[in-house]
Amino acid sequence: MTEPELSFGGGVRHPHALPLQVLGQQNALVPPTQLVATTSANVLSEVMTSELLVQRARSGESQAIRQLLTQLGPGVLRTVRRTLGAQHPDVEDMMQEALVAVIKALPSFRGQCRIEHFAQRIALFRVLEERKRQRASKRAHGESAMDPDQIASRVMHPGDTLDSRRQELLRELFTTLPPAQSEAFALRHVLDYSVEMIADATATPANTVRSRLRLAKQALIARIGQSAYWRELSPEDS
Amino acid sequence: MRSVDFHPEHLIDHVVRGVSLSKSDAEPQLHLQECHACRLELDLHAALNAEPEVLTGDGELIERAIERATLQLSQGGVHRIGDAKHLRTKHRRFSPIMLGIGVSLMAAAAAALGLVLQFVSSDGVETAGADAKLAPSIEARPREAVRDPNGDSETAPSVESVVQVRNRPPEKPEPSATKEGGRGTQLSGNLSPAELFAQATALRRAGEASRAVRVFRQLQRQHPSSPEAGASRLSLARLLMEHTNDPGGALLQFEAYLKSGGPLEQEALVGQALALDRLGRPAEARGAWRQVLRRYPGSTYAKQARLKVESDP
Repeated sequence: MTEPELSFGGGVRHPHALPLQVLGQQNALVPPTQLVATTSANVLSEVMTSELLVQRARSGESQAIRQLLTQLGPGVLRTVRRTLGAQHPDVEDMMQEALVAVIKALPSFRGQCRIEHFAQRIALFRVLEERKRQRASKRAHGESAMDPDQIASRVMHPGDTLDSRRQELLRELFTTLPPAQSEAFALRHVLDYSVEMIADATATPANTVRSRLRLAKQALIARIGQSAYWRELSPEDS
Repeated sequence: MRSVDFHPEHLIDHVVRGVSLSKSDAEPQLHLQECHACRLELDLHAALNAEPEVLTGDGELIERAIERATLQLSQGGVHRIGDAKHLRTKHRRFSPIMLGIGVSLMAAAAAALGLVLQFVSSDGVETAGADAKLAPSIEARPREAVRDPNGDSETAPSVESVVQVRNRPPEKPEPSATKEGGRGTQLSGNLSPAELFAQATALRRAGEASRAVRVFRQLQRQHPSSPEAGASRLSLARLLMEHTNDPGGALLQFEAYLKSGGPLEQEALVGQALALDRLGRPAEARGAWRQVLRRYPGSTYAKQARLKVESDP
């Protein structure tokens, strides 16, 4: 996957770019040219360490697996939480599932992007897959897809602000949209991917991605029109 | 961005990735003002960003998840991931040899058994006697095989104990719990609606369905007009349908929810239809499914509703 290059002299910063301290920006007295050299060296060293770690983890070395998971943990947790909701009771279980999925997917990691981004994508897809599986299973058993945890969450965390409803609506779409649309939509909103990045990540032409995002938006509008509860979120009403 | 390159999805990309539009980008600005869909999508994205990303206790949560994940991987055999092909080949190479050894051993065992039986019968001893001699060792083998080397019998439960557990009659309700709300009252005391709801939810998650039902009922009885009581109708209905096999009770809850109104009306309508199906009231169930179809034609339940309406006579 091609990703925007890190820009040290301003410009677009990738949303998942390295934290400032890794870029060396804490050292404000260093001249800009020297800063670029230092930061490049830091980045290079970090990438090399990560690559080595990935190789060791891939070969099944348990210490390397643990170290890699520790490195990837915060990003994976952020992804799981953004997909499920901060208060969702399954966050910890899904975090575990996502970490296992990341390690199992390591043989397919070709080093064309940072391991953190790879892990976040795997985590996102794993959570979506599990949510859809749960939903399908409920429907196959003739149960209502009504989620008691969702009801409980509404009542026990009564921040029923417009924001919490918006989050709820977005997350509902992640699980109800057709897979390709859901994938594109979630990559955009959970991981802040652009059209081109989604195209790279899913090996799909950019125009197809645009079309999927447009269809997802249509589904969103349709969902809003289905109930008075959601209609309050419409910008027309605000 | 030049107007010739403008596409609504690029506009969303810009805003999502934190790049503000310049004043010269008149067309995107205009589009954003007029297009409700794009504005809605951006509102939703902003709401997602408003949620805190880091919470207290995250460090412990990550550690626990890593611990469990590494355990899961070690049990599932992570070492096979990279080497799956190699292992498979190796396995294939050895399998005929292993098969050969297995067949030879079985043949030798059968021959030995034949010799023993022949020897015993030729000595005039009754075959039953031979069986009696052999029987204890055959019986004893599985027990020895499952016994833990350290003598810890808990790690390998006997067949009898498993059967006993499976055949155990359902637990009798405790005396205090037999009355409606008895146990719940004892547990819950004078709790607020939010506390009762939280308690019932915790019980439900712990798999204690019947106790959860009691606490939900207590909540509805003691605080009938609270929002928690309203929301509890759907949770309770679902528990009654799925865990206590009481579609009649569930139907009453769904109907009460629909009467008072709420954001999950669609789900309550579907629940009502399912409960009527379960109760064997097909005409009413069909009516409920029709209502789902009429009110929510584009919903995720529409297909199911259509099938029900069309398939039933």
